[in-house]
Amino acid sequence: MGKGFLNELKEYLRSSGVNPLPLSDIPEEVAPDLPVATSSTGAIEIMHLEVGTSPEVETIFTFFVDGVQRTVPIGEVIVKEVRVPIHIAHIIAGAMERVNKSMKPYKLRQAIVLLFPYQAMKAYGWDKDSPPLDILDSTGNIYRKAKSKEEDNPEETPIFFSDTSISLRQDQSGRNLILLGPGDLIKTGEVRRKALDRTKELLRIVELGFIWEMRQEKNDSWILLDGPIAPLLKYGRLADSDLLGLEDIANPEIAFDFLHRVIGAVKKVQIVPTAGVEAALNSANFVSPIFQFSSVVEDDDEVARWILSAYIWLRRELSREITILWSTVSGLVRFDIPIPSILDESMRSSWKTIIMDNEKALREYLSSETNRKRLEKLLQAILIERWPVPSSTITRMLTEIFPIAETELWLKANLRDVLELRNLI
Amino acid sequence: MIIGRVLVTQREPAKAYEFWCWLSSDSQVGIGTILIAEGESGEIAIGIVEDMQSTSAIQDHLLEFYGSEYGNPNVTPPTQPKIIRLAKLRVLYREPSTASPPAHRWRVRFARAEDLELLAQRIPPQYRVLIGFLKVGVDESNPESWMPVFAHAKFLLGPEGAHVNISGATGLATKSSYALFLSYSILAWAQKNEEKVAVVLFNVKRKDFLQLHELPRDWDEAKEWCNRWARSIGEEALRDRVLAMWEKAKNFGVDPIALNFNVRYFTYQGDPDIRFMQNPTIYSYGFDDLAKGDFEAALFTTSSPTDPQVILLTAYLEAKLGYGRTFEGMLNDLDRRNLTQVQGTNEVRIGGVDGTWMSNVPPALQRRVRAFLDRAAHVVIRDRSTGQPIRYGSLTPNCLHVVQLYRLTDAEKRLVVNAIIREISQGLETQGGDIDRVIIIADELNKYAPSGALSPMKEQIIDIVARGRDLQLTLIGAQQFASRVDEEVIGNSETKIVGYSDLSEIVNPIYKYLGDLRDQVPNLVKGQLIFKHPVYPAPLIIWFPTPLHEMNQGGS
Repeated sequence: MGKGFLNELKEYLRSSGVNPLPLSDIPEEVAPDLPVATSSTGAIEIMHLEVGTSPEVETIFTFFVDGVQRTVPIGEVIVKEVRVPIHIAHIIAGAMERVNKSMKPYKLRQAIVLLFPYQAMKAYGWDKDSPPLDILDSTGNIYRKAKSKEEDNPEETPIFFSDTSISLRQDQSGRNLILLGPGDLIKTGEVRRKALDRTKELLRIVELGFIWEMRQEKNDSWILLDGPIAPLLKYGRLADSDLLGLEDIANPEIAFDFLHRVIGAVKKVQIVPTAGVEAALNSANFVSPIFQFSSVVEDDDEVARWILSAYIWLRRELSREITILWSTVSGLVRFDIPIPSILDESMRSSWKTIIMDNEKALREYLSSETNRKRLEKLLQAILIERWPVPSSTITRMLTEIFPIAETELWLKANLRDVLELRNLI
Repeated sequence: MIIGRVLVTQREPAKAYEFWCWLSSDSQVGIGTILIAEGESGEIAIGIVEDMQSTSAIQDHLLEFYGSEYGNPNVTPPTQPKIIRLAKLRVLYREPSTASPPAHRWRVRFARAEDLELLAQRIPPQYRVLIGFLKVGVDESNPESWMPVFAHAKFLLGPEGAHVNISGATGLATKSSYALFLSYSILAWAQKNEEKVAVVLFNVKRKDFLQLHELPRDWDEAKEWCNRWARSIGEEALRDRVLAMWEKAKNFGVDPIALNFNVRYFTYQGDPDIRFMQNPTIYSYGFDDLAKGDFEAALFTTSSPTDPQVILLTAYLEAKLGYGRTFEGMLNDLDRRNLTQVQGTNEVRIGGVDGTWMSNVPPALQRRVRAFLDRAAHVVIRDRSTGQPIRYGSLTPNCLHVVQLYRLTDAEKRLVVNAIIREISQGLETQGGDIDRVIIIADELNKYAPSGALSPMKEQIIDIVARGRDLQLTLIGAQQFASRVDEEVIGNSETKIVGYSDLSEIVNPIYKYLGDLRDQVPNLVKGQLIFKHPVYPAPLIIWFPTPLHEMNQGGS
């Protein structure tokens, strides 16, 4: 691996008076992993389908996409007696391909991002220049920048800077929002949290851009994404200017292209409908109730009205044997099925109608036996992915799809070690 | 081609002398394969695969069971968990020479000839004795798939070390075949280095070492023999392997046909297998042909003597040995009727022997001698003082001397083996002459030097083994169970070889030197052995070709 970008970064950190943190103080944020519903929301039950588990069903998913990140405080700068933490994040999005039942790495994109509240520090009296790195900010094209930098220097991991005192989003008049002011620097926990939030946003952006890149390369292939789809969509502009209009499906054509063969597997279900989901739990067979929510955001989970939510009790046999689980929905998985995924190419116009007149058009569409079968086949293809069981925590064993777990394992193995990131300083 | 990477993880930390690596799924690696780990800066570690594991991301059998649709063996899930193959390498050679582990994820690849040359370079060319081959290629019929392994003559034959011990189950471990291959190799080395070496082989089983004179006329005929032999045993795949190894052996000077070593046979009167030998010499032993140690070995090995009997025997031999006495005469001398009573005591005198003896001691010794003679009728002459013993002077350099023991009683075997080893060691010590060095190949070593209590014969073997490297005498001992041979004898054998053995034997601590390869012993096939030699820090799994005379089963 080349050392050009890294040396540049090291030199900057050294000349800016960034002090290394003691070795014992390198916390790494680990997201809590509790698949516990925290929000029940009114939703329209579109239908519920009994999904057969016939051995003749063939898998349709070829690519499995996930994103991983590691964020580590690597040092601190003392500005007028205030200690400001400096973070480094390593972000990776990638896909594995299933070939003859075996998983093979397909592609990954990655970026290292230096994170600190530069504008706030400057306003507080810090006299150093901003880092001599490409900046990831509200001007967008973040994925495009990361991709082109990686392609220009394939031997090096691209390194960027993102100022955590300024939001990536803009207000309606196009102005940047301030996240941290000079007075906030004393709140070290808040400064840290902003760095972690920024990583999460950047990860979604990279995932979104990556799926879009995959869409260009493998237009006909089905992609199974780890996690909900809706949270990604709002970052269209920030990821790539080509995706402008993905937010709120402002550009149905782009949205159709993006969504038509992508399914999200949500193992950490936080949003459930107020009623109806028990059908998935009570039936002796695999019954999947399918809902259409209005847009709801709950922590890391998000649903949207153009994405159907199919709930499946994926590994009921296993759930019965794991008695320590205490949440009703611990074994429940939600599959986010964007409406374009159940439309074929000739139905782009139907997609536009459904967007305009959501529920009625969708019901009409699904009232056709052919279209209903199409959805049923999709759910069957999802259901056969329940075996094998990945090795993980008990809750994940119930809800995680094996190829996605493999993809995550592969991507995590590519993450730089905490100490390696720490040694950047 | 890179086939894997060294593992340096918390769970599998790399050590200086052993480390794990992962391997690509299509690489044809097995236990015993030699692999090379290479660092970015030219560091190299040559290692033998000592252990292998296949693992996957699946945690345990429960998940595997559930993952097969809750225990349905007929189901094939849409994704097959990736199987990860791991290999444990024990380091044989390190460059630069340092006792430090790989510090990075070094590349792993198959060994090439030049790598194995690094391994051999510890042995100066003039001391390289071919002891077998490492399999480095997939195509067994290609001689290039077989890389030579050498022993250091100074460690194999002396003076730095000496003696070889071969262990393994009868019939499956091919101990005798290997001992013969080793004999050829040592003779070839000796001829090249102008050393005069005589090899003495004790034939203890069927025709193991008989018909050694019946070699094919040339290598074309050898191939025909090999073809017929492979067909007759129903393992035609062996043919190519054996011929490829012989081809390679020829390249290193081990060519039994071209070298055409002399073979001399020694057998006893009445041996039904005499027809298989060429111009055999009949051997036998009379009273005066034996030394005190031979008597002790013959009389006192199976049951412990009382001290008075030992003292009496010593006194008797001091008085009578070398003066034309016979065994019949000895029986007479010890007979109660011929003893002279010492007045007023319970003691007796023996004619011509100094001292007095408790009256029951000579008859007890007589019974012991008679019992021995009853069991040694094939090789002992009772009524003449001398027979036709095998003398040191009858050994000729660069020659295989086969001594027939098959069908003899254990008592006879002990007498003959003891007498010959004693004769040769004395000869080497006092005469020298035309012979620089003698190699003795003795199977059933547990009969002569069993573990446990001391016996006269065992003492002699231990003594010879201890002094052998100075005497220029090398013992290639073999037995089914090394655990039943005296530890000192095994310990003094610097080179150890193990063929197929049962697991119950291999768990004995005497095999600890095999490391993880111990588990491989019950899986060794014919022609495959584990070899431990002082020059190499770890044991190697080697192969050797079937001896040519063994392939003459179909007749020419």
